[in-house]
Amino acid sequence: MLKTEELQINIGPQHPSTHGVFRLMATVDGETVVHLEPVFGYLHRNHEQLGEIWTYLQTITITDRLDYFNSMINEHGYCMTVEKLASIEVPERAEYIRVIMSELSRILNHAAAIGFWLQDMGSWGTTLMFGFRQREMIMDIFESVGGSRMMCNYMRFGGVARDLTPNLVEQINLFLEGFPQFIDDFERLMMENEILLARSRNVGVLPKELAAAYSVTGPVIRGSGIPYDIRRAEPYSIYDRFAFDIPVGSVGDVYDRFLVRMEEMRQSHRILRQAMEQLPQASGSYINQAYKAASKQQGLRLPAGEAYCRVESPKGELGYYIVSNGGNSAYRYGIRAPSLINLTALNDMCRGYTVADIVVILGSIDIVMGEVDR
Amino acid sequence: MRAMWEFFFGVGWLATLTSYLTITTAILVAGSLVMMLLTWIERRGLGYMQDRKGPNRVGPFGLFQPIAEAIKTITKEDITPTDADRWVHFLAPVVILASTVAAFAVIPWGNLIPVDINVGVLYIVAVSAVHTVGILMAGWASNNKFALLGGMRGVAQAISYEIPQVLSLVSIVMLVGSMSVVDVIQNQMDPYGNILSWHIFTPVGLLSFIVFWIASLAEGERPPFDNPEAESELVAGYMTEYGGMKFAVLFLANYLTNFAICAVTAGVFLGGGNGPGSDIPILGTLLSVFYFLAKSLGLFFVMVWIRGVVPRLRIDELMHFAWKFLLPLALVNIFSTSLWIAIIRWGAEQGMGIAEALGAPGSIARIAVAWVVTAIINVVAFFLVARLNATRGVTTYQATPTAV
Amino acid sequence: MFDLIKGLRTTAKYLFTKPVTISYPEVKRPVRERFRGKHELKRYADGKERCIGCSLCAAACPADAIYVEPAENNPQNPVGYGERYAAKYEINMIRCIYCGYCEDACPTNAIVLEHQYELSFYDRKAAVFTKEILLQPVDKGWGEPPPILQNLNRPPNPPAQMEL
Repeated sequence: MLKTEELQINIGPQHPSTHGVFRLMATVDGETVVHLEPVFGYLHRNHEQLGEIWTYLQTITITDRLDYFNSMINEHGYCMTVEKLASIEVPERAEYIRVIMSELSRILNHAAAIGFWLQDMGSWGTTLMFGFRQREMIMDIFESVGGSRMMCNYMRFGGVARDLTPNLVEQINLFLEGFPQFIDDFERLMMENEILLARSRNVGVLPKELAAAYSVTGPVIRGSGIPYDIRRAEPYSIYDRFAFDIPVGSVGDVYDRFLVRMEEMRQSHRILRQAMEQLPQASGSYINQAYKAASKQQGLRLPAGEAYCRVESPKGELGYYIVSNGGNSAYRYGIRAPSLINLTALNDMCRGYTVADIVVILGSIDIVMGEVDR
Repeated sequence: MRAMWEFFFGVGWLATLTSYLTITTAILVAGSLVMMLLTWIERRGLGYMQDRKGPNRVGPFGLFQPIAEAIKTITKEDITPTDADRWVHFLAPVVILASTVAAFAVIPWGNLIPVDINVGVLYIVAVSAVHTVGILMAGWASNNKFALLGGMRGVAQAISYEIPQVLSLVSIVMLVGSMSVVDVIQNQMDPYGNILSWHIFTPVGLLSFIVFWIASLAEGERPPFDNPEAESELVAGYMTEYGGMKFAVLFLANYLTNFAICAVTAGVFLGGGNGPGSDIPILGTLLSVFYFLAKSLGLFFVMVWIRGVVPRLRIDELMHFAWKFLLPLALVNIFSTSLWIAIIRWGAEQGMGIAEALGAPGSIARIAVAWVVTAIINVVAFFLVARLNATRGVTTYQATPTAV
Repeated sequence: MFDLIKGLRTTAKYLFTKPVTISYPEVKRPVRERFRGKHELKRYADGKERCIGCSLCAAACPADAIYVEPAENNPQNPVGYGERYAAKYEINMIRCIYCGYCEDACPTNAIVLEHQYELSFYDRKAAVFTKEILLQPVDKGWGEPPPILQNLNRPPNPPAQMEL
């Protein structure tokens, strides 16, 4: 065997497929990856420090910017944490609206993530455009509901900012009706594609034990065959009322993660159907009336103490930790960002595969640098 | 052409030189124009496939978009990286473009034939192989790791895919009995305008077409074989460090290669400029150019269509595909071509009395027998090779929804 | 091998459907009712300004985008109904994150995030929208001022008496 010199390639920070400003120091032997070191922090925006300076209400706006593909779920998690600390009751109707928004957000994220993944694989945009067309429809719903397409700033402590009007309910129902058609097209376009199978099967395998050891979450760990989903493991909000399945993969490769995401979109659709059906019977208002005033002004003070809450973001387990000393902003504020934790397993996933596989594996983890660097 | 100039100049050598220059200029101008049209077709077609519009601002339907972009790229500053090998960096686009344009010398535009040399097919293959050198030069001289990887990939890919490409052409050359491109096209000419006389409508020609087309996609660095450029992996491959005019030249060469591939495919397999009415004296020439362009652009559209659907192959899968799938098929095809020739041309006295033995001597019966035999061989070979190459299922992949 | 054809068929299907593209400068997509765009300073039906210069919006703003400089109203010719009005009201549109908290904080519904979304500037100075840009035309006002604000007959509060 000929001994060849190892070459170190910097993929990033300026590279088309690192999903933001992110650098991968890859040591390659020919085209085979020997070692891979992710370097991040280029997008650091002092998120946690800002959360300690700003009031609780103001902090909601920056949680949108953590993982800017699913701002609704980020807000959901943050509001839940504050509510837990301040023991604020959330009315049933508000919970339903939150769940609907969260699940829409999950579909949005997965559609875009699969599109980006295919783009990384070199599929020249068709799937991306299909995914984005769907994403556009959901963002339109978000715009009607909350007033902004990406940075929704919709949830408040004790509920949501504005109610769902019958028009909006109709708009969401319309979207849900068209959704199966989209996902069938999406699937037909790539599910059985020979080249996609060749590129993704047995690539980036993360065995069960390793996945658990790295404490990766979300579609990555479910692709590895562990049915771990916060919505089931520790049902928050009203997720215990819905029937849905948790898809798991069998091998833990890139293709499994893709299948899990596809199936999760269908399951989200299923949850949305149930939620839309039950919404009219839900009691209460869209926001806890006692906190309605507090939700408009910045003066909310939380009792001293600490709280940790986690939600199932499309990327994995998103946790918020808040320590309060009784003031109107957090004393300590920390986030468990799923993208960051999932990224730690990248070296083990990539070793032994080729340079071309790095971007595919990275795409299959589905990171958003806003969340990794915070 | 020469006669016309001789009439003007009255001097033989000057007339020859001028006629060559005229033809060269015509080819270059037509090539650039076609390249602009190709980029427009590509972006517009991809746009509509992806449910969007594509370029639609400059001119009617965005037709002048390529011109706007040409002006933009040409007026950009020309940058050579500090540590790059200046001369090689400069020469690489030249080499690539030159080799690409040279291939156009023997490609007939319908009835308009620039040069008819008796080894035309070989010439095309040989000349377009030179552009591999240019890719390696570009990759090496850029002093960039991405460019180097792209260049290496380009060379590996081009060399591997040249073999099935040439071997698939060998069967056609055997069928025709000549290496001249004009002869190849003439062979598909049918006095009644019957398109069934095209090579693609014989079992041998069909398999040859499939192999040639796939190998050519790889030669032209088209998706799914665009590994040397591989945007998502290698930024822009060997073109990473090129900008401005040099990039424009590389880009032009790339699209000219693609057009050359389409043109050769149209000529060799789809009858070139042949079509109803293409043998009428003057109108026929125009018609034949039209048929030729229609066929070539149609083939290019197929390229765009494929690009809209498939992801890129990994470099090792790409090699496997060339050596394990295309090469055996091309070899089998040569075998069945020889059978085809033997059955059709040889009778009982040469020891190939198959048609006579079946009790139906006569050319139609011979063709029928040849058809059946080669079709069976080729189809069986295709499915056998495809079966052997199929990704062996290591595990059953099922995203099984489980209720926990 | 033949599954590729399925994908080809899908794209071919979309080749003949109308693209979803909206040709933006010619066709403008209407925004939704609740859309949060450029701010507007509102007026009452009689053309008086709603803003009372309380700076609550500036306090609520997470991005520190709002700058308010209040001034005492002249009782003879008041600008608004409050004791004070905003002599200077500036929003830095580069800083603004369009969260809508200023809208929530405003006691007189003076500042509203409206539907204008075409905000582009040639320089950073131009991005600071002054009161003249933000203020609504006189004839677009609506509603009556609440009684608590109608204290125009009362002179402004005397300056605080305190030892310095």
